[in-house]
Amino acid sequence: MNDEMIPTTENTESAAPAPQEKVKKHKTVASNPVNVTKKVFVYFFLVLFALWILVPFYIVLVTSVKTSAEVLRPNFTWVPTEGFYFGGYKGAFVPVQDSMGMTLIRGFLNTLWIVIPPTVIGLTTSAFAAYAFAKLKFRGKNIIFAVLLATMMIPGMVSFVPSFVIFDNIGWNRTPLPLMIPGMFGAAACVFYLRQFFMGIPSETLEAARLDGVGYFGMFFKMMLPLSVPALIAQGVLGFVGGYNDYLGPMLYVSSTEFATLQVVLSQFTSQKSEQNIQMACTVIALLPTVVIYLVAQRYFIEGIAVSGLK
Amino acid sequence: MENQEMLTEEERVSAIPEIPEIPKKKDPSKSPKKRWTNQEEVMGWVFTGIPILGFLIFGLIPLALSLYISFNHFPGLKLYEQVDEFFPQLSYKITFMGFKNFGMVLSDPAFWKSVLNTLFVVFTTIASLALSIFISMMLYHCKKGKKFFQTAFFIPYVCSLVAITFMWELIFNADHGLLNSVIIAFGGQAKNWITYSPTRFRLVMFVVMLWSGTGFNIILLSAALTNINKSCYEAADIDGAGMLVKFFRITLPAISPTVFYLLVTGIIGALQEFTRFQIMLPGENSSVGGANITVVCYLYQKLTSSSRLPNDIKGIGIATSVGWILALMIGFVTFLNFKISKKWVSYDE
Repeated sequence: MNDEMIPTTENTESAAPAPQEKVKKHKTVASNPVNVTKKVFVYFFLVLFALWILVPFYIVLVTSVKTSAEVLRPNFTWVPTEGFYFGGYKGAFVPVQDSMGMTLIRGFLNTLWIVIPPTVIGLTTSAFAAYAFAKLKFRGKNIIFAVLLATMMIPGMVSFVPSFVIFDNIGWNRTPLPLMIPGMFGAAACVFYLRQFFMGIPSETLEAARLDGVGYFGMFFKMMLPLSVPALIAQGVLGFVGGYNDYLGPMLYVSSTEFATLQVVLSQFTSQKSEQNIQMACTVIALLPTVVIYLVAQRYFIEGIAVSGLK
Repeated sequence: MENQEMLTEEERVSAIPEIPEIPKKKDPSKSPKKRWTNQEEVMGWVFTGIPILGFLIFGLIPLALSLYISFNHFPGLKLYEQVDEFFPQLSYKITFMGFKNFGMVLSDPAFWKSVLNTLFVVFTTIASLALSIFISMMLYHCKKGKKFFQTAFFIPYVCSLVAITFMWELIFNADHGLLNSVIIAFGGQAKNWITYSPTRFRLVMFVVMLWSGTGFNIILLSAALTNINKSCYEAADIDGAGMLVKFFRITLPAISPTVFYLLVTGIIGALQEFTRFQIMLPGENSSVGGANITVVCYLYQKLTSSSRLPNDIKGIGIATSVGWILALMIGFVTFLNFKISKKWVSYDE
């Protein structure tokens, strides 16, 4: 993946801006030299910034396919001088010390198991709530909405410790439950986003269905959900990526248990001082799923963020 | 939930007198409409009740409990006392501390050091926002390859902070990092970047946070920039306004609500920074003079350590107090932000 990204950057750097400059120079140099300078200026910084963002990925990728001996040498090389070596990736499948025989793969499966059910269920409950806020008339709607709004104002750190204490006292510590159950009740931010989306669906359509005798659940499942697939994907994907990358929660609740998530297992490589190529292979494996999801579902990501961010 | 059920009954009764009035005008089919209205109320409460219930259980109860915990000392995580008759020293005793927990935290130099480190994260966030504005401007003026740049710039946002920190650790690594090999290639001396001094450690963290903090900002700022009315620029061009004038008089005011939103959420996030510092250099590290401990790292240390002695700065009582102090800090900074925003954020569009 990163493999493909890097050459493209270099292409853009060497090929794309250069011919443009030439073409523009031929066409407009006489009429508007300011435009050319501006263009060079703009592309110079964009390419520089793209390199700044992408080169670290390339370094990780190239380190992950070097041999352990080459990695330890003080002079860094941009290509593996001893050929491509995939021992690092093999190392990713070997259990980490002092982590109950956890491997990165096991951590990955744990992450999926811990993140996907709350994301799906939480999205469903959020969607139901958003549907009610957007399309149903009931007393106290505005008050309930205000309460939900207020919950977003409370910083998570206040309830972080007491939650931990409660979960420990009811025996949920060292289980994935504290990471899973709260999310299933839906998230306020997600409710807001979906509410906004649902409000865009014309009420006349729903009214017609209602007169045809379609129930509330029927309307929700047959009309609202199919019409709001992009919004649901956006929120689902954002929720998944957030859960996948979460570190503080899993660190507190499931580190050094058999439920350790990918991020926790990954972090245990530092204390273990394993070889750098293995570390970087693990980093690549950990980065790959979210980056691939992002590249595939990019449109939804951007939409989800742009809308929920701007309110 | 019970409350809501009871309300339903009440509302139903009170709803009856209104009904003859409404259908007369609007709806010819009176009785089904009425039945629907009631069902609609119940459905509305059930659907919206689930997130509220979740908030009550996982938000309000811990919030209430946090008051109790922060005013007491607990030797462990249990919330009830246990008396051991034979070995009194083994019994689990809860000591009432009043505001002493807060006092101990506020007089702990290590806490203030962590506050300083966290303010450094806030500073980095602001720097990253400034860089994001600049890059978004460049992106706005870019025609070809815009899609590619946008895609690339956003990638760090979806990457795990653990992996990102590893990545930069590799670059700054003293023995075989990329940076040192570049320095050597140019005839310089290899340096220990991460575990040498507080300043160098902060420099490393500055780079890491700058790198990972721009993606989200750029997406929102790009959206805000494309919404600016182009005729403003044309008018400015006619008046012969320069680039800087246009930026400060047109662009910045137009995107100021977005900048403000990013500033507020960014600072709130920065005050709760944990992962990148914890991964880069976990625990106490004398070589960087404790520059690797943010407030949440401090809280985490207190949470995961415990002591039988109420006067030790350890345990959940202290950790909860830190949580409250942090929340008040967040509240204060956000309040300040909103106050100052009146001077520079313009919502008149």
